[in-house]
Amino acid sequence: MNFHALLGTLAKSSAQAVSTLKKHSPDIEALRSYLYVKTEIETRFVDALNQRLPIGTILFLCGSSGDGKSEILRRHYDKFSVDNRFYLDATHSFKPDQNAVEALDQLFDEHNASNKPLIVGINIGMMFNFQNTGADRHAAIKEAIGRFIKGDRDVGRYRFLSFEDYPKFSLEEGKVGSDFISKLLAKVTASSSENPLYAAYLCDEKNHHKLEYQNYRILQEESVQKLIVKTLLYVRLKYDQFFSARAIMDFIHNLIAGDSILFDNLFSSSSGELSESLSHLDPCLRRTQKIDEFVVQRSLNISDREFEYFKIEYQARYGAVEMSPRSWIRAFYLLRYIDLGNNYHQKFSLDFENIIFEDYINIWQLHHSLSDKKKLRGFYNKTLIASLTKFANRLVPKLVGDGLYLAERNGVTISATVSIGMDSKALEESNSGQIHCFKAALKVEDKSIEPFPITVSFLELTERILAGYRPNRHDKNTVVILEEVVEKITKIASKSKALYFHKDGGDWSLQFEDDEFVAETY
Amino acid sequence: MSLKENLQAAASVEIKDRNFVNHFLTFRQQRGEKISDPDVMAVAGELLSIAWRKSLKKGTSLGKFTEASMTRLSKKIADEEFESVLQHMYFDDDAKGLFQVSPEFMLFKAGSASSGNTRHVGTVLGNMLLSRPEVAPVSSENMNFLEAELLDEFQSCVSELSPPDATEDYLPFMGEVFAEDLSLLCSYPGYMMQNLKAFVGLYNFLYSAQLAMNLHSWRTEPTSKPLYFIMDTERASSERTYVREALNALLGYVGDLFPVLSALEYLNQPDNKEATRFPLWKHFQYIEKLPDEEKYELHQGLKCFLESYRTTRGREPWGGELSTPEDVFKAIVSTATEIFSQARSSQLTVNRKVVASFETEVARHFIQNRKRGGRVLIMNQDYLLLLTNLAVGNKEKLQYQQLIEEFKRRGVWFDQQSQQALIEFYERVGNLERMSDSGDAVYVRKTI
Repeated sequence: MNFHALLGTLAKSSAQAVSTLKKHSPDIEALRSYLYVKTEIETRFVDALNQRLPIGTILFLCGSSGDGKSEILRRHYDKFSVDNRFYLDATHSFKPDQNAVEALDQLFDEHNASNKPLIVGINIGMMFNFQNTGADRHAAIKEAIGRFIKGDRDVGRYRFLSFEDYPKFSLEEGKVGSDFISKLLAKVTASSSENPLYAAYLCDEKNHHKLEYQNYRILQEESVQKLIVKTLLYVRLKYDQFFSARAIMDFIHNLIAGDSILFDNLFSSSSGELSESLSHLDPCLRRTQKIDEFVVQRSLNISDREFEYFKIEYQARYGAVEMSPRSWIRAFYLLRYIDLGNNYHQKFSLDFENIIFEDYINIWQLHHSLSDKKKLRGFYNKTLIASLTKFANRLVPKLVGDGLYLAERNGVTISATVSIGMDSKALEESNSGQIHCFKAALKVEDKSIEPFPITVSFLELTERILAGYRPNRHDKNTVVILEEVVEKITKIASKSKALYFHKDGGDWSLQFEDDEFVAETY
Repeated sequence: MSLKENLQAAASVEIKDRNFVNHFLTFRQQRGEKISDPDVMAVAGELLSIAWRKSLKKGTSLGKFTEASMTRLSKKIADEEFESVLQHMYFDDDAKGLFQVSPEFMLFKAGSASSGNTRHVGTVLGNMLLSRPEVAPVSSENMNFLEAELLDEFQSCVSELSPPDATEDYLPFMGEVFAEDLSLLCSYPGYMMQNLKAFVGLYNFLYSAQLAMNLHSWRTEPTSKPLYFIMDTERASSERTYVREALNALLGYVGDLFPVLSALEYLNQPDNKEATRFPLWKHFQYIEKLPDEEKYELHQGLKCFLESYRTTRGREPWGGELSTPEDVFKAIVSTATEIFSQARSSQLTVNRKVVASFETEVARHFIQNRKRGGRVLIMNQDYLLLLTNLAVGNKEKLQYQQLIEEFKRRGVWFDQQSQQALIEFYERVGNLERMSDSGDAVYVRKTI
């Protein structure tokens, strides 16, 4: 098979995108087994099967579509299907008079009558459907699914292996990124004879000027791969994007074989949710002087010898292509760690920093390792608590001084002074490995408030508030959590033994002392 | 008072000169140009009083409470200047500040309805709470030590209430969710106080709309009838027939509300203050289940009523079939609509005004004119978030499909496109949780 055809098998629209027990042609089988990246969930799965599942067990291998459930089952079918029953098709039935849930009902009936453990590859959504509408006689399974949703993984005879528990991205120090995607990209582009794609690429020399081949060459750059993984990580953090194995394969296919040059395929492709999210991170959307100048000058064809020289160097390395100024900006973004000619493109490096993500990752790590309490405290005092108070006092910033706004009663503002600080004890218990948020823990006076999730968007909001931004009620995004936290703080502050009252023309304090209220003006 | 007595009395009921509706309806014809919103505080006072089964003791009033509170506080504070600040904060300007403290104080507002529509909304919505379990009041969590004194003083003003239950639910399914939702709000006092206005407005509209749509299906118990909304940010493109036809169809039904309910008044002993009022469908179900002999008696009585109703309103005797009670019910309903649809009659004018007041008072926030796209029913983001929180209820989160079902229970329907747009909306708000890429594994969290 030629390069183009082999590449095509990576697309999600290809016939090879869905795993079944059937074998494909030898070329494709070779590529598949070469590209296969063994994941932790697979190791766990094999461990479980090697230990022999007790009779009556059902093992649910659950995930999103395209996660690779069927692929794992397929790879181990030959070895384990004698002792276990495999079921790959939990999302449909084979009879016209039966729906998928009824098919599962029947499967579980058969399982009850058999003496083989059952292994089911199932989509989480399908599992919920079964929980809602499955037959009552399978109440035990339905209940187990309920417990699974709550976080249990072993419920009596029912065991769950969920892809969600094995995230493809990591924020841990030294491992920021995605092992899985990095390995996959490296395999796809490896210049080695074992790589069927590379072999096909070499055989096809007469076509090397074509776009697909140019893109392949660009993707072979290790630093480009790294930046792509990083960009994907940002998308994962900010847009809660799902990344199934199939979606990643398709993404890689689109990078190389999309309609345009790789840079545009990454940021301005129009296929699906992932592209949509990626387009929000398009470096062209950044407004800095250098980027704007470049785009304007290129559009007006103002001559720039340095750039012309760089362009020649670029084309010598990757191939001749005409690119719009915006595409060049994207190219500068992805190539910024590569040494190329006069390094014209590196002038823009600073303009591409994603500070908010780097901050987030940094604070996330601090929350998980808890190694540097001082730095952590700095974040709490200077960013989090400062923005929370600023938001709480947004209606009366001058009036309450360093107090906290509690309520307004017919034109009179009530406030209290409370100490808010980081709750280091609660921090130790509240953070698991989830990457899309970390839990912040606060203490108001001596009372802890329940740790609350901070996402990238939330962090961005707190920083914007500090910079003077005032979210309003139509600005619903993430303000909800902010309001909730402020509400909790106010609740504790309301119980304060000293209250302050502010009105045009007067401030009073009221102290609660031995069942007497002492009022004073100040 | 039983259904049977009401029906028996119908045979000899006196037909009044004027048509009137005293039950089941939250709005009347609009008089004058000014659109008056119901006084939400008064309605809320009424509702909370019934939900909590609490009312003010005889002889207590806001004035007396003010006096007692100020005496109590001045004993503790003894600072005249500050006391005048307190007086201003909590009791001046119709005690505006007091009502911001905690929902309990709203009991002072119960029964204070100054306008007709406030009273109607309060009575009809309150009615749905009568037959349902009592709700425990929860005080605001943000109360400081000063305000705690006020609440403590207030406790001596309240007594238990055992309200009469004189009207049966027309829409039991709606009553069910309404009571559920109010009791949920009661457990979040802060949220309740912020959202009372929206809550009353929402239910006033949903109740009225579902009442109108269920009016003609008196053969069966009412159910939530499809009423399609879109979000205010969505486009109402022409292929979305459900959305585009919703409002016109609804207004058609609303046109029959006043006529049919005014006829129903005669089946419920209009002159007897003690009588329990029953919905039309209950009358029919009751008759259908009777043994033949009794059925015959009531059947004849209803025929007498029909005849005198038609004669008094100057209609020809009924020409159609009347051999079963069902026929008579049909005849009564169509007589009612016939009376109100005579060209140039005062009844037609009255009914037009009633429909107009539905549009301007009840449905105002839910109708949007999309010019070429026609007028559509919309659900804006504030109402939508409130509705979402109510639908999720006591749970922390709800599977998306179940949420849509909960919306339907409340009479709010969304077509496929809107359901998609809703997901995007929740994503933006940040209360959506996806457990997988499958549409079945999407959860929506509460935002309170």
